[in-house]
This record gives sequence, structure tokens and C-alpha cells, in this order.
Amino acid sequence: MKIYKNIILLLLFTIYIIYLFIEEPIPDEDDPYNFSEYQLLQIDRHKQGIRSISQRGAKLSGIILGGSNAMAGLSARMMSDNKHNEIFYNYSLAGSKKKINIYLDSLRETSLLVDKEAVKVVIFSDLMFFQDNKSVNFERLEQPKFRLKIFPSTSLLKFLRYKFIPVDPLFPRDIEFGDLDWTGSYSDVCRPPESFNMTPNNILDIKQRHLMIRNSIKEIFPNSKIYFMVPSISNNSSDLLLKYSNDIKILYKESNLLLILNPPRTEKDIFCYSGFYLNQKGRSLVTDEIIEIISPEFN
Amino acid sequence: MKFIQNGAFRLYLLSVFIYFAWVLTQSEFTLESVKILFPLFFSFVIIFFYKKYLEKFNKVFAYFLFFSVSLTSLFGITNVMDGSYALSTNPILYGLAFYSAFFAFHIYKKSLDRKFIWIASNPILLITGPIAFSFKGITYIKIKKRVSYYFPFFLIGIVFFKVIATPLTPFFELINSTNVIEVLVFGIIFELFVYFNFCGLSLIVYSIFGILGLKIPLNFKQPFSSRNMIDYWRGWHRSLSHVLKILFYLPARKKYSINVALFIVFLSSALWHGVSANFFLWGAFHAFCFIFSVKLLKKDFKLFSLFLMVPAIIVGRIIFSETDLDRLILKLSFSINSPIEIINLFKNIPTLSFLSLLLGILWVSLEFFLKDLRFFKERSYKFLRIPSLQICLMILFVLFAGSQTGIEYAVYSQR
Repeated sequence: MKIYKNIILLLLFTIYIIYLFIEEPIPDEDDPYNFSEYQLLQIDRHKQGIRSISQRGAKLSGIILGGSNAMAGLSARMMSDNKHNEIFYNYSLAGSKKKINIYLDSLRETSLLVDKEAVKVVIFSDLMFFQDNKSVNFERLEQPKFRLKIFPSTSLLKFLRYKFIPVDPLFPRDIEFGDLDWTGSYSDVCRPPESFNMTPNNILDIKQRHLMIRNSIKEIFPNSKIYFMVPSISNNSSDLLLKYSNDIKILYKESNLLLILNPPRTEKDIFCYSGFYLNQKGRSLVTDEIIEIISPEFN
Repeated sequence: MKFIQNGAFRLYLLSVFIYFAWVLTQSEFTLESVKILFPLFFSFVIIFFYKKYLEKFNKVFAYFLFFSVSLTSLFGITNVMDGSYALSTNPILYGLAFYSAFFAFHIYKKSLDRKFIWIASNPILLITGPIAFSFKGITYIKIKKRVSYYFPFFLIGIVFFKVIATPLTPFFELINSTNVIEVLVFGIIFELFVYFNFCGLSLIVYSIFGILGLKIPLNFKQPFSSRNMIDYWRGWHRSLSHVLKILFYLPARKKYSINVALFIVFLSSALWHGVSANFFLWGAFHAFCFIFSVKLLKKDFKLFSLFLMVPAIIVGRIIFSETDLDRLILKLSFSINSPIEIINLFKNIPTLSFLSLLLGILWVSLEFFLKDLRFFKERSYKFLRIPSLQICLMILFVLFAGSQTGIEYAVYSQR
């Protein structure tokens, strides 16, 4: 038995060493250059959704962009229902805020499936207006030139699953409009909200980011009006945030960037587990307000 | 240069080399990177002053050294050792708790030798936490035999640490809860975490030292194979227990009753972990449970001592982990009024964490229920060293070693 044990142990050890050398890290939310497996799947679903708009002979009039806050907090179906002849699509992608370049690249590719000239409104809801107190600035961390590896960056089991078993999306979306499906798993993780505890980001950096995004979107959808939306946050009347809101308004006006900025919400029952993810009720409320704001574009 | 021939010195050099090879490839060079060299400097200072001026006052000096970490903790220079993740507050004093206890032990026993410096300040020991109060060269045993005996301990250690303990850290959000159910669940999970983390690292160190020709004591001996608190402490953090026995229990026993001696031991242990109200409470609580167990066993109430052991371990761990006194009082009131968040919280816990929890519970249950069987009786992890189990451990390691679930840190090395 002992000899067999040693042979099997040696064999397993060899597999481990080989895996250390051949493994490729699985992209995650912090990787700015690659989509994660869930994001790739979602992009694919978005392409199917947008293709089906053209196949129905309809034209895409408006598109919602952004990360998970846009996914949970805005409804393209409501917008489409309100504007009877216009079609909106929610192209938001959870975990995309650090992947803006590849996200816009995917939008450019997807836009080939529709009449780009017909898109009149783009709403970009961006949580980058704020930063997490706990967040680390990954970009400023120097990556080591080489790493002494004892453990792989991904477990072998996860790697095998990633390679051979297709994943289901984390949160199911409505295939027709791209909205979050509230009958799916998202409602399971929705728990009582916490207070909003993010802090203002560097306003000039954000403005630069949005100027870049506006230019890219203008290339993709030349006739569109691009609105940058500050996500709705729960009531937080700190002087710092109020001043920040004022500064954003002034700066965006000066820079000719269209802004959607509502004051912090006083309603207590419209958030879901954070101070910025809306629940189903919050989504309806905020989408109604957005419809009011963009209505002049469709008159 | 006699010390160059000594195995402890070679092991020290090798450990420093491995450490710096690791540091240089991981991050930029800072004071934090060279923190493992300060213990060597302080070890020289301690030996110099002891040999030159303080040999006559060995006992006073030993107690001063043992409680030096309590003083630094009192003045906020070092962190308390509550098992949570924290970077060293003061890299210069890195490892103080461990090398000071090591020197205190040998100075008290007047057994200090200059070559001990290389053991006291060995980075592998300081990073992981066991106190190698005794060690002996075993290079006369052939390397093949040493590998064959010690490698299984390495495998057990790495699976304990990497596959079971580390993925349990996402459960730590429960520390904020004051509802009785969540408090108890946290107590159980945290006990499992501390055991598999510290025992795992201790086994890794035990095996590395053994393979390289130095035998150090086994720091854990299946503590959950116990049937009472006395037995439990015989198997838990044995290196510290031995130091406490020599420094506190035996001298106190000459002057005071067993109860007083036990209180002195546990309160000294509490002070060594850090000067904080929860540690005083923890020390007093365990002293009381220990004394009560002694009384129960004297009257042959074995079953009662078993019933005392299980809640004592869990409640003890709850007290140990909570440095916020107000919240600790709330927790110990065992209130059912505060809202239960456990189901929502568990929804966000990765699957691997649950798998690790299951593995942890399974192993502890085997330790507990099968303690009289052949492979468990010696309490030296023999069961996990049998060939088929070694293969299972290796498979677990190969499959899960790269998992990013949880925070990886040595629970007893964050001062």
C-alpha cells in the first residue's frame, strides 16, 4: 500500500506543479482588461436582446448603460411602455465600472446590430461618482515583476469548472429589454438597506472619465444625447455630500455634460441592502422621474 | 564560530532566505518587509543583558520578559491577540510575544544557551506562532526517513490551514451580531477557525523543522478528543501551556492552593494575549471552568465535566474574540431580541466556505467520537497519516489550494 500511496501522492503533486505553470487567471471584477465569465455571458445575452429588436423591425431609441446600480435601478421596459413608439434597452453590466474601455468596445460591437442613427438618448448611470471607504486604489499598486508561486491564483476545481461547465447568469435579466428580472435570484439577496456610506470621488477625475465616455458614445451613436446619472442614494444630508452635489452640477454645466442628479431619497422602503441599490419599488419611482427628464427628446 | 555548525543556525539562515525570496517577489521593500530581523536584534540584546548583568535576577527578568508584551499592549504599542486579522502595529516589535515567552522560559529555568537565539528569532516560528521551548537535532536520522515521517504532518497542516481554516473567514461578519443564535454559531465557527489555522500552521512548522533535522514539540494534540476541560488544555497550544506551567503554575502551587494557582496561570495567559477586559474575563472564565472540572472529576462526575466542556469552549471563544466590551456584554446576555440576520448573511457566503465548515465539523466530530479507536488514541493525527487519508488530503489540496475564498493569515501572529 505504501508504494502505491507514494506513487499516487507523487502523481498528484506533479499535477499540481504542472497546473501552477499552465494556469491562466480567471478574470474577475477587478480585472480592467477582461470580462469575467458571468459578464461575458451577460454581454452575449445583451447582443441577443438587441439583435431581436432589429429582427422585429423596430428601432432602438434609447439605451441604459452603467454597472449594477443601473441594472437594479432603471427599467428600459417602463421607458418603452411609456413612449409607445420608442424602444429602450438596458445594456448595464454588473461590475463594469473598472472595465469602461472593454465595456464601450462591446457596445461598439453590439451597435452594429441596430440602426445607430436612430438612438436618441443614452443614460449612463455611474457609481464612480462615489468611492467606497474601504476600497483600495488598485491602479496605484505596483504589480510585482515576477511572482514566486506556491499556490495557483485559482483553485484547480474552479478552473476545471470554468473550462468545462457553462455558467448561468448570476442575476437573470429580461431578454427583451435587458432589465433585471425581479422574480429571479436578485430578490433573494435583497435585504433591509444599510445607510449610504460611500464618499465623494475626485470630481475632476470623474469629469475626465465622462468626457472620454461621451466622446466614445458619440462615435457609436452620433445622434444621441448622453446623460450622466448620479445613482440615487438613501438620505444622507452630510455637508460633504451636499457640497459635492453642488460642485458636480456646476462643473458639468461648465463642461456641457448633461447631468441627472436627484437629491438623496427620503423614502425608506426603496433600497435593497445598500444605500444605493434600488429595489423594485425604487426602480419604478426613479425610472418615472427619468422618463420626465428625457421626454423632451421624444416630442 | 561554533554556532555555524549548529542546526538551529542553519535553519535560521534557510528560513530568512525563504522569507526574503518571498518578500522580494511580492511587494516593495519597506520596514514591514524587514520586520523579521528585529527579533534577532532584540534576542541578542536580551542574551547580552542577561549574561552580563541579570543572571542573578533570573526570575524577575523572566517575568518581566513574559509580561513585556502585556506592557506594550497596555500602552497601545502592539495589538491584542484576539484572532482577528490585523497587520503588525509595530514592525520593530514583531514577534515580541513569542520570543519573549521563549526567553522567559529558559531564563527562569537557567537553561539559556547562546545558540537558542537562532530558534527564538526564527522567522518561520514567529510568523506562525508556536513557541519551540525545546528542540533537539535529529540529523542522525536519514533524510529519507525524516521525510517519510514528517511529510504527512505537512500535508495535514496545509489542508487544515488552506482548505479548512482560510475559507471560514467570510463567516466572520457574524461577529457583529448580538442575537444568541448568531453569537453561538459565530463562537463555534471561530473556534474551528482558530483550531484549524493555528494547528495547521503548527503542523507545517513541525514538519519543516523535522525534515530539516530539528525536532520541536507538537503544539496541538487532537484537543477535541478530550472529555473535559483539563484534557482539552493538554491538547491545545501545548507550547504556551508548558511555558505557563513552568513560569506560573509550579511556583504558585508551592505557595498557594490549586485554585489560586490556576487563576494565576489563566490570568497570566490572558495578559500575554493582551491587556483588554475581554481577556481578563476569558482568563477568569476558563480558570473557573478548569477548577470546576477538577472538582467534578474528583467526584467522578465524568459526564458533567463533558457537558461543561462543550459550552465552555464555545463561550470562551466568544469572550476571546470580542474586544468591544459593550458588545461582549450584549452577547453574553444571550438575548433573543436582536434581529436574526443569519439567513441573509449566509446567502452571501461562498459555497467553498460551507464545504470547509463541513470538513471542519467532520474532523472535529471524528476526533471527538472516535477518540478510543486505534488511530485516534495517541492523539497525534495518526488517522490522517494513514495512506488512503493522505491521498484524500492531497486531492483536497490539489483541487482547492488556489482558492481565493477568505483571508489568509496566521491567527497567532499579528502583533
